[in-house]
Amino acid sequence: MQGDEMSADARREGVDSRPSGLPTQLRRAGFVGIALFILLAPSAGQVFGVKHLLLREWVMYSGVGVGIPRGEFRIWRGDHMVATLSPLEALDLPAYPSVIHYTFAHRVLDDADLPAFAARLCEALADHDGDRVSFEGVVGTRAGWRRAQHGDVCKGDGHQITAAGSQREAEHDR
Amino acid sequence: MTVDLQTIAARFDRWGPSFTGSTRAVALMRIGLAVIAITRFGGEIGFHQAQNPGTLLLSALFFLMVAMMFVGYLSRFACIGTGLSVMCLYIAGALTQTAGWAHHHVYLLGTACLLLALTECGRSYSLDRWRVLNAARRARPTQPEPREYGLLWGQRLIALQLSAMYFWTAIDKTDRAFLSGERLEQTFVWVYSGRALEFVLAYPGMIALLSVIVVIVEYVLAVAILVPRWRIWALPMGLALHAGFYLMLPVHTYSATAMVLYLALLDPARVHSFIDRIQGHERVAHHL
Repeated sequence: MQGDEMSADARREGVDSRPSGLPTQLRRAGFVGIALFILLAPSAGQVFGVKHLLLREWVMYSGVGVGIPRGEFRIWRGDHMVATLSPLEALDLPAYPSVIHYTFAHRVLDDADLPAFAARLCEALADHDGDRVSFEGVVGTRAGWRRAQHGDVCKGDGHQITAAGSQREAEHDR
Repeated sequence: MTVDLQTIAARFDRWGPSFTGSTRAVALMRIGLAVIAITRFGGEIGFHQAQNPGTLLLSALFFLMVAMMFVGYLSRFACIGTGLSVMCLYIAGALTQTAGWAHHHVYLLGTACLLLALTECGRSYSLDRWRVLNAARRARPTQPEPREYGLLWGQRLIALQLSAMYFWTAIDKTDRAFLSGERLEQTFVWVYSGRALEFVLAYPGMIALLSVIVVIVEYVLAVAILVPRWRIWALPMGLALHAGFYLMLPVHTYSATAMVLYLALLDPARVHSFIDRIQGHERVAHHL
């Protein structure tokens, strides 16, 4: 038992090694109080939904990937599909930037965000010889992937993203 | 029954509030946390970055306290100062929406510094010890030198902090979204898309298995790191987990902080004698 080893050490150390500082009873009360805070404070947010900066929840990385689409942007000319692009290709990025995820401006947190995500592609639609862009795929939410479909992201209508509540989750994902 | 309760209370007291031992492990933690603090914030809050006199003052306080913590000058005071500085940055980060400052790894770093102040972390590897040794040699040249020994209740609290962290993060992951691999897959989409590890996304079954393993390991670590006879396998498992996080995800200083805090899980007497052995002082250690 480690505690026994330590007390044996203490006996060997003699008077010089006696604990100094706070009175014993105060230290005991402090230890129990701090230990209870450490062990139970996360339950405020994670069990009871009470959010406070100093009642730290341990939900590391739970929001990374929220709002990031996975699927295909399809470029159409009439009824003929002329090209498919990944979300990164739609943004004209080689990779998602090395920034903290919640500062990434293009996250798709509700239905209106998918057209915004594809805005750059829509501006360059003529370069692809197309007249319409659709999206078929999924979008990340804290509850997992949610299916996302959009008939014409450049017009901004015809969308359907079943990602209810993702805006609220975005506030909670650090 | 009364005797039993008294025995339990006494054992708890020895384990926690009155825990004493060699101060070498907590001193190493002090040095490690100071290095991590300066690594995390040094580049972001240098004087050249200050927006107003208030942030300049906080910056000056941070660098002063971190330097004192590193060299071990007024060590416990320096740990409190560094811990409070980091917690101020954590709160300021949340209030001003400064990216990354209100993160879990900053909170862990700040609280660890504060808890370290509840140990005699200046009694080893410090300017404090050098001053005490010099004073003792002048006052009592024939007496044995002051021992590297003291109160370590903060070390137990750091161990509890690690345990709570594992437990609550495992609780957060215990849902369909994580155990099915979807949440980890989302993370990998953000981190790996367009990069060399993008091929991982082609194996959702492997990602789901990895997710389940991570949750199991975190639940196990929450308990195992507190049980002395289990630490022989729990510590390598935990270190491997954090090394994996560091290599696979941009976790900033989180893994490094957790690894340094693992010193709180070691028996201080064993750390002391191990250091004596690797320095060739085995005979001296034997007589301590």
